[in-house]
Amino acid sequence: MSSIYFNAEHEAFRQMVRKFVETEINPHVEEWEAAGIFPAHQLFKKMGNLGLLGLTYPEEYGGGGVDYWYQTILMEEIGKADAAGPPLGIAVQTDMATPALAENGSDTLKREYLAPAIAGDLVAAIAISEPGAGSDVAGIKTWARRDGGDYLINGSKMWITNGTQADFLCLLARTSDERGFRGMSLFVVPTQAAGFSVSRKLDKLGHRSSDTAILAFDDVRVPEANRIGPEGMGFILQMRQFQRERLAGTLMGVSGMEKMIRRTITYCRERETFGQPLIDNQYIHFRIAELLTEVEALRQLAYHCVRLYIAGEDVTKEVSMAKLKGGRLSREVADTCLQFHGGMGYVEEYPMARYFRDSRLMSVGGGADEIMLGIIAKYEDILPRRKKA
Amino acid sequence: MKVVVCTKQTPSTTADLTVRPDGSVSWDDPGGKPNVVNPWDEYSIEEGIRLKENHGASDVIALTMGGDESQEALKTALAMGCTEAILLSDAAFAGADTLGTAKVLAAAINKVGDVQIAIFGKSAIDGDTGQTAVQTARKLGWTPLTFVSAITAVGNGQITVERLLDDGKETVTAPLPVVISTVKEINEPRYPSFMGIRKASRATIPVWGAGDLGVDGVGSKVDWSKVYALPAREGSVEIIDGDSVQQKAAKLVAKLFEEKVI
Ligand SMILES: Cc1cc2nc3c(=O)[nH]c(=O)nc-3n(C[C@H](O)[C@H](O)[C@@H](O)COP(=O)(O)OP(=O)(O)OC[C@H]3O[C@@H](n4cnc5c(N)ncnc54)[C@H](O)[C@@H]3O)c2cc1C
Ligand SMILES: Cc1cc2nc3c(=O)[nH]c(=O)nc-3n(C[C@H](O)[C@H](O)[C@H](O)COP(=O)(O)OP(=O)(O)OC[C@H]3O[C@@H](n4cnc5c(N)ncnc54)[C@H](O)[C@@H]3O)c2cc1C
Repeated sequence: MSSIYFNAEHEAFRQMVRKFVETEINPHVEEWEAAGIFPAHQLFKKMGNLGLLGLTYPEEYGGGGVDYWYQTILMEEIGKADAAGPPLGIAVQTDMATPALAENGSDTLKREYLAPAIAGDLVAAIAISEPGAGSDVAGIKTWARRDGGDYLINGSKMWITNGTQADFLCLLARTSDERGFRGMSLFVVPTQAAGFSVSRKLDKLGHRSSDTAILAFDDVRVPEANRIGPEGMGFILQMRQFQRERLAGTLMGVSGMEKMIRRTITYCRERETFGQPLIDNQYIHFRIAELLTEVEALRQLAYHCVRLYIAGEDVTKEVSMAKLKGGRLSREVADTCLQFHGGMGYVEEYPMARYFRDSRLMSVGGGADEIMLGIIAKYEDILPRRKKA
Repeated sequence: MKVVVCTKQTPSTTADLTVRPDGSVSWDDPGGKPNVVNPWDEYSIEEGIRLKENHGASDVIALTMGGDESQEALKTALAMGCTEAILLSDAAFAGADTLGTAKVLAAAINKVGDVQIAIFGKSAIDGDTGQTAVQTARKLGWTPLTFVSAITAVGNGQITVERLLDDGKETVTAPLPVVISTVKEINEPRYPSFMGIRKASRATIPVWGAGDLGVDGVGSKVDWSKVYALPAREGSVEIIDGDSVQQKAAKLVAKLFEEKVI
């Protein structure tokens, strides 16, 4: 597919990633889904060797030094994999757990953690959510208290993707009693540190090949040098990091939706009821045309975000809109495509059922739909004024 | 020591072949995949690169005879790690049969100079004659080593390879220079890396024509007098019924004997 966004080099890159997904991910998906985990070290090393894990990061750390259009292609192509688990784990590595480190980490910290993450030697995870605070990030309770030249971390993190295999976490913790967002800092926490443990792996509705875990921190000592950016800036840095997470998630979502709609078209061409192919029912081809229109509109919003992001603009409002629409639309696409598959949409031997389960995450993970609505409303200045006490 | 890899651009493995009533053929990929490096040639490209990595080859040069669009195949070869690529293209090469192709490839290999090993794929997935390698060897006057599944030693003016045959393996040693055709057991081809793709897309690929190679009248000795699609297979369905599963099974078995299926 040629387009005004992508040139021949992009296209060659897309073909390479597509082939990688078809040969290194898809054939293993059944096994990984059953096992409840995919082998991140093995897969990431292969990707690191091909230069896929640090496309937008500086070349001095082993990155590709190119703009986000390449990352767009990577996300679009992995978003078409036969299960959403491995792509989520990959996106955590490239777009969720490392952007703040790349932008605000010290040179030493980047050499120690970013470079091996780009090479595929270390697996990263992003540890923000907690049992008591998901949507309300400012309500986290994990503490990092100063102890000599170090910090001692205590608390618990929940829903952490790559959680059982990660070599290091990008972790948000409180560093002062100041209320709200000012008292937080972002850290790189190696998981071999004493006092760190995986409490348990969670059994989930979808993304079954992705390991999601509860993590515990009991006096985990990390040097001050492991802090990303200044103390007290953690919340701000994480809010920025969320933008890339949500953009990447939307791009994966769009290509996944399109793939499923196209699969449904093929199915409806072949399946006959009442003496004609399903697709010949106006209700069905109109519905599909409608969904393709919505997906295309979302893709263009996402591409608009990519352009803003590359230009260094604040993308918060637009990315929140794209993520919100992506969550809502993927539920609609999954539901409609399953419906047109009839019973075949309901059995595990056909990919539809897995997609139905996997697609549900987008409205919850990375900030729920309602949180996106709150951000958009805030940017539009339509939130109710705070009442005086 | 220079190594040459000859590669053809072919339709993707998922492309469908259409033969029209007038005998003209076309390949179309339902998923819109572009043409690719002949899949069998990925193994030869990989082996060429390994000769550089493991056996001290100085250059690994990819050659393709074809139209302008074949540059893409050469860019893939460069992205994988070939050190150079040359497109052999000229109106005079159009419509070449395998012998014509061999003539052009041999002339190009001679022009490159100092080549000790020329590597080919087993066959091209479209033309699928598997003749080009041996015919090129004949034109060059070099030893052809076909169906090579491993290169075990290169040095002292000779090469030792393992050949994979229908009934077993054969180890042979031959004096250089040689023409090799590879089978898929020889290696696991690498993906072109991201950095490789970036470098390749900036490369300018030299084009050698008939004049550069000193060949004329390539043409074709083979005349494809008739090209046609096989008639579609006809089949019909017969539902076997009966009062019980046993009865149906017995009827089915009788029928299978009757039709000489078993
Ligand atoms: C329908 C049809 C039928 C044909 N039948 C015949 C026939 O019966 N006899 C005949 O002589 N020709 C035939 N041709 C032409 C033939 O396909 C091509 O002319 C010839 O360029 C390559 O032959 P091949 O595809 O069979 O390659 P093969 O001989 O199968 O290819 C073996 C290897 O040779 C190398 N190679 C092949 N072509 C090139 C190239 N252009 N540049 C660089 N390396 C290359 C590659 O390493 C490849 O893996 C036919 C063409 C068509 C369209
Ligand atoms: C598979 C999976 C992987 C994940 N991976 C990670 C990870 O790697 N790292 C990480 O840090 N986190 C991760 N998460 C956590 C995810 O970000 C949170 O689940 C999400 O932010 C929602 O938080 P919560 O689950 O605590 O829901 P809650 O905050 O309890 O909210 C529950 C629901 O209430 C509604 N709601 C919340 N606030 C409001 C409001 N103000 N107004 C109206 N409605 C509201 C929303 O519908 C929301 O879904 C993951 C989650 C899942 C399921």
